[in-house]
Amino acid sequence: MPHLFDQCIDENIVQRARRGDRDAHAALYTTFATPVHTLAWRLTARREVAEEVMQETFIEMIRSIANYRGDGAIGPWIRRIAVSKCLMHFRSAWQRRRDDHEPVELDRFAGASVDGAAELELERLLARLPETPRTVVWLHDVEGYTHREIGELMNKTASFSKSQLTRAHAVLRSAAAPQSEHSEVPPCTPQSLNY
Amino acid sequence: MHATITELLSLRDGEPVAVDVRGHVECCEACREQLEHLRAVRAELQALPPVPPQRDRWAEIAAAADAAPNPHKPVRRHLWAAGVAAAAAVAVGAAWLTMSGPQPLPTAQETQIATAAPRTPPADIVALQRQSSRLEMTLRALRRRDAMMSARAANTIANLEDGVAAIDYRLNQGTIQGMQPAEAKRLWRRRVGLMRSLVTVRYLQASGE
Repeated sequence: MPHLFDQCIDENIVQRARRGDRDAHAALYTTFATPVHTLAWRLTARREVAEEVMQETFIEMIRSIANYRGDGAIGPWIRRIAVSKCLMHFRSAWQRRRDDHEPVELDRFAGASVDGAAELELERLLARLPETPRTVVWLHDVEGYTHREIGELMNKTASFSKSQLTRAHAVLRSAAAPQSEHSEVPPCTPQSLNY
Repeated sequence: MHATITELLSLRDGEPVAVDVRGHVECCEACREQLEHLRAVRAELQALPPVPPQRDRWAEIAAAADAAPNPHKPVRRHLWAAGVAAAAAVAVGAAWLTMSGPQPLPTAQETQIATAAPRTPPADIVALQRQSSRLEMTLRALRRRDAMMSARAANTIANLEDGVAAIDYRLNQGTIQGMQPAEAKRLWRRRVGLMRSLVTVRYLQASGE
């Protein structure tokens, strides 16, 4: 599926935004508000926090777009800011205290634009993951970040990212398919694999 | 031995995997099933629908961007404040020199003592310094979440921060030139008061009040 941040933006809008044109900033907001909010929602699993992260992301975009060199698409550049804001949120002792007192309210996912029961269940499972594996699985499996990139973002190693991805999938698997038995070796049935 | 989730994820993502693991997965129905499951979960995550914000926030974002100082640009107000502080320092220094007359240069021994053994401030000043330090930590935590800020609040905060900066300047000058403990105590008390006000304003901002 096409990625949310892969939006076509008129180069003229980007140039105007770099020069401080507030209408051009508004155009970028209109285009990327939903992608940024979606990313923040999936990473933080809290509606209020997602809204805050979205606002902080666009404030930062306005402040620093003059330094955007234009050597890549603007979407991924804005996404980097959003990811950085989410990670800053996780690192903040203040936020951590608040999150501890405000656990994820899963009922709120009923208000999200999720149609099927399976999608809703996946949303819930994702939200229940601890923040680090949740962030890693989303950045890796959906946003396409490599383990090395995730490790650098988190001031950790690529191995750390891999282990967190494993942890996320282990939880998602056990929650989604508790009947899965993977302890006994069944008879081998060689087949060609399409990796 | 079945492949681990890590190994299956590596297979799924086209990363290097030991030959024997790959061979096992090719002939193991359970592992192939797990591999397919991992692929399916990734596809399902990618297929989750976008979540738009509850309402348009552009007006607040634009207002906050206008109100908040931009760390990427030099701020004229701070330069102005620094200029005033520097001018005041020069004036105070000149007045002090006029009143006290020429001072003998410190002897080498005095300089050595001053460098090697800084005087320990009185206990009440140390207590104020600790209070100030704790308030700094609280402020740092609060600063991280001031996503939205009215122009009025930003102005109040800027004034308070200017006040703190001016006191810091005087304290620094006092460290270099010497300062009476009573004056140092007065400045530290004033600093703690301003820091408390800053924390209050920041807290109200953070609480959305």
